[in-house]
Amino acid sequence: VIVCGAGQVGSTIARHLATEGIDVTVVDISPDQARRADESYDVRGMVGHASHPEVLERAGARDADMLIAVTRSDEVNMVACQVAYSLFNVRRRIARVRHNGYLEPIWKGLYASDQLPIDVIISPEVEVANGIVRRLRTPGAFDTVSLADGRVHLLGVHCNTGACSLVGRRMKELSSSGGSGIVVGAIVRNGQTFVPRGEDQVQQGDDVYVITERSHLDRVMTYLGHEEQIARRIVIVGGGNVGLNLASRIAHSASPISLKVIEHSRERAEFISRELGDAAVVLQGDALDKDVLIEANVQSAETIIAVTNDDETNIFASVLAKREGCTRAITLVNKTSYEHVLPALGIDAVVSPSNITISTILRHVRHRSVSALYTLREISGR
Amino acid sequence: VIEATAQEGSRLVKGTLRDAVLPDGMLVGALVRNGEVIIPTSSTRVHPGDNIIAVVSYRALRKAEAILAGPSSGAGV
Repeated sequence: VIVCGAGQVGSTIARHLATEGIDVTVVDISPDQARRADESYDVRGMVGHASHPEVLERAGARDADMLIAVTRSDEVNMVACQVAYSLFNVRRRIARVRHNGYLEPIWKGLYASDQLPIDVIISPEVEVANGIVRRLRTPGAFDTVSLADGRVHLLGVHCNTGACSLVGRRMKELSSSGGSGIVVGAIVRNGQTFVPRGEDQVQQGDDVYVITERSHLDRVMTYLGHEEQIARRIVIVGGGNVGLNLASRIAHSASPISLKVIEHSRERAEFISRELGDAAVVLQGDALDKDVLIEANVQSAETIIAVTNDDETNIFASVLAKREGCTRAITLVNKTSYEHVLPALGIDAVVSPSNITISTILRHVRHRSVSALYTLREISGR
Repeated sequence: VIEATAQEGSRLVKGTLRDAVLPDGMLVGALVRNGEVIIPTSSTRVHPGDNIIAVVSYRALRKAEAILAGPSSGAGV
């Protein structure tokens, strides 16, 4: 496997594949990044421009089964896939493509097998927006994954109150005690994650991942002691690709929702205001400014969704909004080093574009009997 | 969490989930059969062709793949 780009996503994927005994070469334009990849893991790091034929040949493209292109540049990723296909017959090609202009459904013909031959296109911004929309639908869960084409849901839920009916039950007794239609897939206790056996019990304070049918979501959330209402007043911080995509999807949802978007740049604010029309109120200003948050009425909002391209802005805007009285915060955070302090800051749900990208890509690199793989945040890497 | 298709001849389809003796760190959370969702118990039988959703710890991943794999991926039967 050749991985183009040794950023956070590329190097995590390379490490995962290497631990499974797969021969991995990482190509990066920066000598520093390439050297770091070469030193720290059981992978080969190589300096070079990831879409140049000569570089890919040196990386072993002639013998490669798969190319994963996750450099910063959409164009480099696309051309790397084309070169891998046309010159080296690399069998499978995965690329990260971010820019909306390449993703519009009407231009889908571009990726037909005889055109720009990319088998799997990963677009983190779209997946992040999908993940947030799912979280809005089940506000009591800190994580939700949709499985089997949406028929089955995996929910991450805190069992932190006595209202959770799972507490104290043995797994094997669940179906005979009102918990039919629920399987507890994993328990997180004191930072350790494990797959429970029939004798295991859920304790108060655990985080659990449960699997259930979509049509039973409401009943299951009630069983788990979570009856949070779906938000009617939402504030979005950041009007970039994620924020705009999210805002238009919320605006088009069935139930009436009061939506406000805070965007720093005047030009961008005017643009999204035109795009969204009457569906949302767009405020231009700094979300770290208390007056701006008050103007957006965060004190009476149920949910703030912070999705700027700056982790620190997202975290602090969420914390400030909750201090003003906002009920819930959904926060986009890329840096994994912050993961452990976020719950203590009162952030209810974290979405990570790089985690989403990594688990989407790993889903496509599995044994052929496995069609999909999702990584739970707490388990990842361990 | 993995999604997989139950293979004809794999250990998973030989009897009930209890009989399959899944390794520590592997659990079948749901089956989809002909578009219908089944939340299994230990006496549920998996049929070939069922779509399986399973939770597997990293340590059990190899063993899980072995259980899911059909006989063709073995000694070339």
